[in-house]
Amino acid sequence: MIERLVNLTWILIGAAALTLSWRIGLTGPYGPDSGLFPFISGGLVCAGGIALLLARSHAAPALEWPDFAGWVRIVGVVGALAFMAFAIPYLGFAVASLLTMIILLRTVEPGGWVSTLVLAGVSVAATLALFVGLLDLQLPRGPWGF
Amino acid sequence: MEALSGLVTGFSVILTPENLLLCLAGSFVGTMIGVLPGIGPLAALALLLPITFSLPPIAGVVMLAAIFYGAMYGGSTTSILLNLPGEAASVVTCRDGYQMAKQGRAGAALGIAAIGSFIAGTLSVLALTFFAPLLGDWAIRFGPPENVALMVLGLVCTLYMISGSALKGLVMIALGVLLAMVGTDVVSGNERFTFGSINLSGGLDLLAIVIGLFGVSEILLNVETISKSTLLADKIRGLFPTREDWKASLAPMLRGSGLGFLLGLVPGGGPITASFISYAVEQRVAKDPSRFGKGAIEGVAGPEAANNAAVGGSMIPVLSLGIPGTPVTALLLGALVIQGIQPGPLFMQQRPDLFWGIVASMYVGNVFLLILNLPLVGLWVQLLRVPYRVLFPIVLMLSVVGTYSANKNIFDLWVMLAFGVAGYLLRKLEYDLAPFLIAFVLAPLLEQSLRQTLVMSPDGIMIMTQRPIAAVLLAICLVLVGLMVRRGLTTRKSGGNHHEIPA
Repeated sequence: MIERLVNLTWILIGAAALTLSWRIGLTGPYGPDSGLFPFISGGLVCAGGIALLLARSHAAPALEWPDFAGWVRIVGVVGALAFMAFAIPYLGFAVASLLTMIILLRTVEPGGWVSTLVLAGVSVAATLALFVGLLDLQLPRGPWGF
Repeated sequence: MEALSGLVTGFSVILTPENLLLCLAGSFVGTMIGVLPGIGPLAALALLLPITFSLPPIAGVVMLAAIFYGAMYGGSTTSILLNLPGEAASVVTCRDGYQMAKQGRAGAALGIAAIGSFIAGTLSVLALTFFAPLLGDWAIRFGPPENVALMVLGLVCTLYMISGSALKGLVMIALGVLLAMVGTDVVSGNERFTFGSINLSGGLDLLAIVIGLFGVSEILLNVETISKSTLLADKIRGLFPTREDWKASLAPMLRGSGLGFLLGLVPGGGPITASFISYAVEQRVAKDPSRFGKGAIEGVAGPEAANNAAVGGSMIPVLSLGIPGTPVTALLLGALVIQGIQPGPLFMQQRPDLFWGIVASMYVGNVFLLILNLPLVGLWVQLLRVPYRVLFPIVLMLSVVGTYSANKNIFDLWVMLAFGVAGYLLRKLEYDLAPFLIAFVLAPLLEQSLRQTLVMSPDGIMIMTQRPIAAVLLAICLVLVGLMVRRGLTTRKSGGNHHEIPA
């Protein structure tokens, strides 16, 4: 099921690329225009998707998905990263990453709260020390100035 | 002679306190990551790429290269002590290394793996030193048509690298080319697939894609199941091989070095293939093959030497021609591009400091790695006791900050996340992601060179057949494609053919 959906996605992406690159233009006075390469690659993606959809021999033979606990951990990691990307502009790097670390540590094989908070604090401080202190990078700050 | 003077230049570049420290740090971090089960050199490079991003190009590349061979060295420790390969090329080492550890000979196995890696690594860098200038002399005659042919050859070689379904690999190549086209066309100024978004006008960020596709997806795969293994590391002693160990291991090390170097040169060869073939060879030439799988030291010495020698071999096509033969060298190529450096035929002439600096750093890195892997083996054993749940969020945090810091753009974090999820899904469906990366890196160069070629040629595309080097390269492409088609037909006729280590 999921494999078919992915193959359909290739077909749709390829078809969209074919249409859009055709509009850009395939050839100009000196040869290939901006649309040629995307047109060829879009066509290949689309054709590949169709071929994969038709030729079942290319499907992954033994597709193993994680159990419920595994999914919780995966969703936890993805959710934590999405939260961080969303929160950095509003909370600043330090606070957003501290909260993200807490989510990550609580999601994957949770330990005690104290160890989680200590570990999150230490790792964020180490990251800031490395990137801001050592490598002199500017990271976004929150409304409270850090 | 050119090689020696180049090497002197390289050592003058690398032998500064800052570069030596970064080489040591890269070797240390690489070994640390290589020791950790589940995170191989590819993910290690992807996740640690941002740390090198703010460094000067030479320092950054030296550190990245050190991370690469550090991860290759470190992979054997986990194989021997945990029976879990730290990286794919160490799978074979599990077979006899873990058995040796069970028999109380963990020290000998770790020692011979480290010394074998050092000997092979040094021999392969020596070969790289003298072989690369020959390619460089030839490559100086390259113009746009030759570059086009070379890029096409690179993409054809990518076909050989595909593991699993070739059709899925082809889709990945096409998708890589397609996504590389997102952004403003530098020749015409036209916007392609930007949908009016300012975030897309500069194209998709390579760093965010690499970290998402190889780093985040690796972590998602690792958190699926939290497994616990038995650590055989109560007492590690006798790291230096005995006379008998040397006698049994020297020939396998030398065979592994030669084999690994040659396979490293071949696209799709690389450390994994080298270690498997070396094991099979050692088993074949052994007087008593039945010892293999039961703690034969040759089964550790040969494959470990082979996988480290392959690293040196695989550097030649990527540094001399800009053609990556393995996923890791594809990532290294991407890292160089991010640093504003374009490896290729003229790399050695235009940036001799960088080229020879990398080569010299490999000599120095090998010495660092021997020091790190023998006296400090206890440290790596302690690291194996740290729970994965503690390590992975820290690694993830470093990669997130690094991705952001490259362009100071939150959009890159979303790109990283999207590619991480896509990478996880595609790896579950057994898509090979390395061809995507190679195509993504090579496509803009191919497009630009092709346009230059057509502008300079009154005969259109026929210029490719009128220039000898371009014509030869294209002929090689045709031969390679022909061989691949023939191999595919043969495999289909015989109902599939799988390489296995003989029992």
